Amino acid sequence: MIENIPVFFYTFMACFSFCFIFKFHKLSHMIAAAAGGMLSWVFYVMFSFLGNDLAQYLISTIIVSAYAEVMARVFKAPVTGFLTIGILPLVPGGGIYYTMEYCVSGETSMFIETGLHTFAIAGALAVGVLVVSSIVRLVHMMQLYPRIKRKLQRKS
Amino acid sequence: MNNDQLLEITTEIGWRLLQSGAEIYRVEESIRRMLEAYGFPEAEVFSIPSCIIVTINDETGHALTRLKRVRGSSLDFDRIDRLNNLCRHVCSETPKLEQIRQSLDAIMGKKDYSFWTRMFFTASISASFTLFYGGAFHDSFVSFFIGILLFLLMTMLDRFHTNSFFQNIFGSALVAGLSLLTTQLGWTIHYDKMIIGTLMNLVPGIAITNVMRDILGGDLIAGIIKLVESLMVAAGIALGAGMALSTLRYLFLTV
Repeated sequence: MIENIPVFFYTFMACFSFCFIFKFHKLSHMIAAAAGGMLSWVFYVMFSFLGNDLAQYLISTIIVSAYAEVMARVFKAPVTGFLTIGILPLVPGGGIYYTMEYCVSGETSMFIETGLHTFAIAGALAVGVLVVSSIVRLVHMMQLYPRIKRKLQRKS
Repeated sequence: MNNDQLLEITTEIGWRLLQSGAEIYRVEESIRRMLEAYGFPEAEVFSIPSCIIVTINDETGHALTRLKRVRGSSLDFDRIDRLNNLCRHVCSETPKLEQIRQSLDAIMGKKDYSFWTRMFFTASISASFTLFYGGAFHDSFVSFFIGILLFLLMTMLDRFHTNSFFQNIFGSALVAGLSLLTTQLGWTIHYDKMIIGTLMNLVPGIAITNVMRDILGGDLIAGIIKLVESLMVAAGIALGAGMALSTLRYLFLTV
């Protein structure tokens, strides 16, 4: 954990820089989003005892999506920005590169292995986002339900 | 109040939202809510990433439709935030249409980050992601400058309205080629880390987060369109880097 602290700092810097590309204008939003990016990597490293990187990706995506939803509520801002930035360190950029590298150098078996693994990581990210968004939507609908029911009763 | 003007302004707000990279359900929901607030509860809205269709029926039963085409979108968090607030305001207060127009113009007229700021932070992304993926400090230093070149190339290609697939191929070929060259010259050690780090600038096109959120909201068509788009980005990046690397290796390099 200690030896990873510089890496956390680099993640924070990278995500903070991305806030400018995604046109964040408030410093509080930027810091919250960049902290989300750092958090995702902190949790990825923290769960390394699992020994299965897909599980690590899944867990940290779930945590960072929940974080993004909370931040969206706190700042009353769209969740997309926080989520996109938060997930950036987990995006398998390395996987895509090495897949291409094996393809170019003609190592077919490694190419297929890395490619499938990269796909699996992308799938883990997608499932993580999906789980959290679904739960948030469900809770939201449960809160709204009494109001909708009343509206329908009034109509009929 | 003029129905045509109402339809126009609400569609335009939705169009701007979509251009700033908002989710489909947010766009549809915003337009529907605003029209509902002005007394059109039966308004129909349909949107995919490249167009919006809005229809309302006026008092006489005459149908009014507006279609707006969207070309290209990039995430603009601040704009989505402001437009969202504007929508909430419109729904709760139902102000005059001129006032909505004024606030919309104010939002759209807000100054963007300058060329230099964006250039600096593109370079800073390259440098920090190079370090993040395990590059050495002088790798990240060189990446910083490659990031600047990448930004200049992308701005230039953008100015000529080149399609994004071609842009990605070109950009990633530039990055891969330069990284390999600097390693060959002995300035840097890990050219692979530099390539991955600098290419992270292009990767957000692959953000699958919005894809999942769209599919979840029931917008399967939108989800599929975005999924194909992100696969194209990934293919473009891989293709560009692959071409540059294999050409350079074939020509004279031995890294």
